[in-house]
Amino acid sequence: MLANMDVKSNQQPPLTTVKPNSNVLFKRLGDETVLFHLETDRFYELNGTAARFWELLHAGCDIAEIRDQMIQEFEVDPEQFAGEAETLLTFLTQEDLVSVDE
Amino acid sequence: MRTIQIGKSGVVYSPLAEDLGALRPQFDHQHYLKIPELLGPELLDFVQLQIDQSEFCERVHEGIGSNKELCMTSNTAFAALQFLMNDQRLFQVIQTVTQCDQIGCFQGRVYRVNPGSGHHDSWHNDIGEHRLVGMSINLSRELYSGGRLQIRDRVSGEIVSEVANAGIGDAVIFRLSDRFQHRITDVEGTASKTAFAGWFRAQPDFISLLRKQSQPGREPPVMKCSSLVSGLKGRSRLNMIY
Repeated sequence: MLANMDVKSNQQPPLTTVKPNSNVLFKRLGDETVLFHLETDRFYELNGTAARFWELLHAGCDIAEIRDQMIQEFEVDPEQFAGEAETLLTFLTQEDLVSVDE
Repeated sequence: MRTIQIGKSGVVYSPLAEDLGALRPQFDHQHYLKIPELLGPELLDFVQLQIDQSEFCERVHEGIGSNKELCMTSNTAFAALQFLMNDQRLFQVIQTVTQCDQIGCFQGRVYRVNPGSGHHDSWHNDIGEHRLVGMSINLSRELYSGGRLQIRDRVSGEIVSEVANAGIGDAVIFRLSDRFQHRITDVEGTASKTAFAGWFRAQPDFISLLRKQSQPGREPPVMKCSSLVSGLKGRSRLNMIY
């Protein structure tokens, strides 16, 4: 499923839409961001770069837009970004922090 | 005047700096300040529904003579309140109005006082553990009688302030000082008082507070999520996984 999220190519439109779960609260605390899931009663701590990913997601960006933005902001090549974004998205999905619409 | 309101997604609105300045003399004089409708309606509904299904255990506070209340066991409502009250914009309002030191966190509990059940409070000052300012938010379903915050001069015993906080979702912040003591008067009539009450503290910060609240046998309260993108500009290399 995550392989279809189009984090690797900037040629194709995204095949899926990833949105933050509306029952997840978040706040920035210095460099980090804390998420709280109102249904599972669990807290999550994101470091600065994962927090930036979350902020862009929350701002309504799709995965391709996040990739483009973060490649500009951080010293990372597209392939490395794709791998790390996929790992992060897998985690966020498993924890029901985001919803993925095919 | 609208002061600050917190909703389910965080701060809904916050005051202008000049408006806060006007509140400072009020706090200086009364040693407390009411913040009407601190909790927005959606958050209040959410919290009250959760509280309706919650368990409360009788609790006697150590160090406070003859104090007894019901304390809600930790649950989503508590965690959400704690999460939402630990907000830098709220901290800024409290610091500006009370002139307290920099706030690191807010730590609270949800308690209930039933009339005629032997629940009561004694004079105390809550000083210690880096506590700076007290706050109580009314979460009661019904209008209760009594349950007023009283503040007295510790030496003379003179009551210098007294305030009811009966508006649902309203908050009262109050001074913590060696000079003063405070208590909540007995709740009378038939309706219970339920409140989220605690202290703004200089230490620890919120993340450290969450980590400390880990309990044996329970899942850690904070999960560290995989990080993203090593080699952040201008920073040392970050670990891929915490």
